[in-house]
Amino acid sequence: MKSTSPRTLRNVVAVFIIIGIILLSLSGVLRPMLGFILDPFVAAQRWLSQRFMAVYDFFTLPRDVTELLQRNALLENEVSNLQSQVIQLQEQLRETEVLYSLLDFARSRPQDQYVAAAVIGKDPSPFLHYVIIDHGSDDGIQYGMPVVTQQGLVGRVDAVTASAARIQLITDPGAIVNVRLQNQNEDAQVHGSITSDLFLEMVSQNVTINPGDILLSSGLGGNYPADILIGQVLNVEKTENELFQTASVQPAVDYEVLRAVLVITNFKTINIQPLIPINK
Amino acid sequence: MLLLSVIQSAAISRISILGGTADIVLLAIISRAVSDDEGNLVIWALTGGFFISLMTKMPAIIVLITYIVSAGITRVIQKQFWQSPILTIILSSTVTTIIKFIIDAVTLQFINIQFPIIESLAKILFPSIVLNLFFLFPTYLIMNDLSKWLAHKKEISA
Repeated sequence: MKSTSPRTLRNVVAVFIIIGIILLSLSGVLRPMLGFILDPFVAAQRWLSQRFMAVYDFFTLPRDVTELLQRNALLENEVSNLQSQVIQLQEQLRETEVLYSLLDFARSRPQDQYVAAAVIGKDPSPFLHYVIIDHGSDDGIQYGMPVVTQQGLVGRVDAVTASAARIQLITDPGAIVNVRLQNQNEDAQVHGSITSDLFLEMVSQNVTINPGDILLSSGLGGNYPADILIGQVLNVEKTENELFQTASVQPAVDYEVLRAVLVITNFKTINIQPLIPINK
Repeated sequence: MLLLSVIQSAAISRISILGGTADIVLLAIISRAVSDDEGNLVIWALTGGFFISLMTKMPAIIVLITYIVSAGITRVIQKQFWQSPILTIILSSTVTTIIKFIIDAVTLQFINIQFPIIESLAKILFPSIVLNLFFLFPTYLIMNDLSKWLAHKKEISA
């Protein structure tokens, strides 16, 4: 029998030890020991990796920042464009809503013919209440035609050119509208004022007016069609020694935000001046 | 002046405090009076008055008189305070707004429109003065640049 050489014996022992270690590590017995041994290597690697990445970023960051700034500028431009489009679309939506409500009003009064017009300006004088619309005689608009919105009576055409017209609002100090109190079925007048307040006048002392009473156009005088909403009574002023009582009126139309109006083109105003006796 | 009149009607007149509004045509005339020679001033006042009279119900002659008087008053104030254009335009703006208010009030009385004085002072005159002061400096800066540009053009053509 040949004797086993020490080298061969050494190799066999080493193999058995390695197999044993592998089997032990696979079984999980050596895990705590492996953790204890490898922890310093892991910490060293982490330290080295952080330093390396710092140096790497130092040399590569300027390129990234430039690209990011360019991309940011492009995105900001795109956001601005989209915001402009959103604003335009919101404005178109608002105009569409106004036009739809005017259309609804026109359909509710099919006996009248209308020309829709946009309000493009106001009288520069703070004392007078006129607005300028973008339709004129070319569109069939004539002097004296009544102007309404879906909310109520706006006024009447005061001056006309080929492509524009000036509308006297009922809040103008020179405007007088003959009205009817809906609940009491009594006739009265609504006057405008310099401060754009409306006042109900020429109401008999016998009539009981309450805040909230609805005022409609009466059609008397021939300047405005009948049964168009004017507004509501706010405060009543009744003085016993006066011939008539008065009241302040909340107009139905918000004149501050007037954007579009309807001009009633088939309403013929009646001139009753020849019938009014001249005071001698 | 046509552009200013359009802006006045389309935009400025819609900005109101209570019942008062600004008048940028008047402010432009004041600014020109402070920064320009005498010859052009009446033309500016007449031109501004003409375009405004096309849009307003106020009688055209009243509008023209108002702007010419305002230009004259500004010129008088400017001669007193020539060293301080800022003080001149502030004072002119206030005084001419009051003068315009008085002229309009007298006119409305003549055409039989009721004019409650206390209420008009509180709701129209004082807010108009405030709004005119608000728009005064931007208008003055623009008109000042415009007059320098026109003067430069004159020199080149001469």
